[in-house]
Amino acid sequence: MAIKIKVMEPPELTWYEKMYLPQVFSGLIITLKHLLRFRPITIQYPEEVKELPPRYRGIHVMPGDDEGEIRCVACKLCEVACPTQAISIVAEAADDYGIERRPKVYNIDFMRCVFCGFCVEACPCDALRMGMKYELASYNRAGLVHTKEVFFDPNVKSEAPRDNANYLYEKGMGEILDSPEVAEKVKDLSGNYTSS
Amino acid sequence: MERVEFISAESTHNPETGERTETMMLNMGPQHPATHGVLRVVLHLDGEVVVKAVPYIGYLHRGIEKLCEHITYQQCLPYTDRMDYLASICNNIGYILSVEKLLGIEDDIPERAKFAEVILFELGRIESHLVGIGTNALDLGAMSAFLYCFKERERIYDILETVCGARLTTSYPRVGGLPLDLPENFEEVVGNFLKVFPETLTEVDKLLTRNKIWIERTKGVAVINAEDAVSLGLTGPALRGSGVPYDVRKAMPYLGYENYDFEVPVANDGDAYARYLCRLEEMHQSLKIIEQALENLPDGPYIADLPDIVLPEKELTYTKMESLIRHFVIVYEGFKPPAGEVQHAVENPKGELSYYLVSDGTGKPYRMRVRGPSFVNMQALENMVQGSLVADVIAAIGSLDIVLGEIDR
Ligand code: SF4
Ligand code: SF4
Repeated sequence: MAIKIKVMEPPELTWYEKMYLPQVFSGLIITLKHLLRFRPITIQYPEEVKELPPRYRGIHVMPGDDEGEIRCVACKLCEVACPTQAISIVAEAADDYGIERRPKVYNIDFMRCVFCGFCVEACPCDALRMGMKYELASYNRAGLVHTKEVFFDPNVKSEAPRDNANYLYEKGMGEILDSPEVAEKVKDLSGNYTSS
Repeated sequence: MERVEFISAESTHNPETGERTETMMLNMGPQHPATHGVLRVVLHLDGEVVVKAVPYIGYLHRGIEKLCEHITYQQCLPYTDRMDYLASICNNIGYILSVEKLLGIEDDIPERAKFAEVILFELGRIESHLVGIGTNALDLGAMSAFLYCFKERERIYDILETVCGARLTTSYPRVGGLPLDLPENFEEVVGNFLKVFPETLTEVDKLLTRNKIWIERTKGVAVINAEDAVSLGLTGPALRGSGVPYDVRKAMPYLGYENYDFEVPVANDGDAYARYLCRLEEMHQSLKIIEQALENLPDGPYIADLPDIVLPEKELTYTKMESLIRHFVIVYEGFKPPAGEVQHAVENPKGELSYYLVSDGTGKPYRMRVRGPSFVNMQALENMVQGSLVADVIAAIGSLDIVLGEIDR
């Protein structure tokens, strides 16, 4: 395939253009035009805030489940997926709650985080999302390590089934998850699932 | 690199008059605004004339290549954002293409993903050239061109934000395609951009191309001839400005660039003005490519159906045991390319960006090497500015359009 080439020749200037002043004035005309149809593209930041697209990757948010509890099961997959090791999790047993584990400590170090969103992609139970906030400034380093209390927002609900697939399969009830309409109803994880 | 003596040895003593002259050493940078980052150039001056210019780099070194040896292929992606941060999406796509080549799955990538990547790539090119021209003009005193360039750049950032979720650090495509489908209004926003952008391009053209002041400052300044340009390994507008029509998109097409109708702008003078002309025309050509890609953007899947490599859909992860296990395995260990090595080049806005990956069969790269265009292009600086005035050094650095994040990596 022949490569199509466009040879750029420097323009020949007319005697008129060779005088400096006309160019200065035509430049001024362009800037003057902009002044007349003044359409600012800047926004007055702290007073006005830019509208963010839904995909924006800001400070993390942890959605709540129906009981207003944290959804995270401390599987540590986000910790593994994070390219900068920004997340640190300490798990604790949560037998009282139908799931096996929940995080005792869930910290994200925003001095390390690069807002790539890989942790959200990795989370297998929709317990972590990228939020819309981006104002992170702090007077000290400790203020940049945020805990799960900061991320947790019980008002953000998740439609993902609150399942624990391992748990159900172990109980010999895994097949209920294979039909989507039943899987919808699986919310109660007390272990006493009845199909009626 | 040759060591620079801090007290210059090149002195001449005139026994008749008893005068002793020596060249003066001047540090330009690392905090000089016109060096576009943290570049330090040690200039040896004979009066106003540059005798020697030695660039010192490394102020922004983060060891990205080494870091990438300890993380999975997927996790390397955010690091590539931070190399050429003026066109991070181009770096991302280049990296993804190399990994896809290493895995041998180029043929499985769905068409929609390829077209979307072409559109994003060209938007990245325009964005980078806008900064290149804008800051070059700003350094030489043309403030308004810079402002108009940055205004348009903001529009591109808005598009990238809706698609990728971030303005600068995009981290967008994934190995196998796109992580999320293009947003619904994608065609509309890109179409709007295509409508309004040519106007600004004309304005910049009017402000600069036939402007005597701009021509005086750039024409015949920082000249490099074709032979030197090739032997120094220059690529991108810096090479095409010297009359060598080398463009990776034509020479080694990727992403289906062979199917697009566009021209490679070439100028023969090899000076800063020629490079400016090339950049300006490249933006026109990029618009043409985006138009074609947008017209033919197919519907359909946006990520390849490759269970070993691509994460399962979220709904399946939430409900199905098998998918959950697969999800865990891919996140924990990463996908495992066969042992071997691969090199893939893309035409970054600044030149040929190529990745060299060595795999030992595990989920992490054994070695990743990046051949950055700015790093190589900067070698030409000494050649360009020898014998010219100090003020021309600024024009030379600006017209090379280097970005230090990529030089130092
Ligand atoms: S956004 Fe990226 S860097 Fe930040 S915590 Fe999540 S995975 Fe880590
Ligand atoms: S946030 Fe998600 S991925 Fe991270 S530990 Fe909790 S459940 Fe696992």
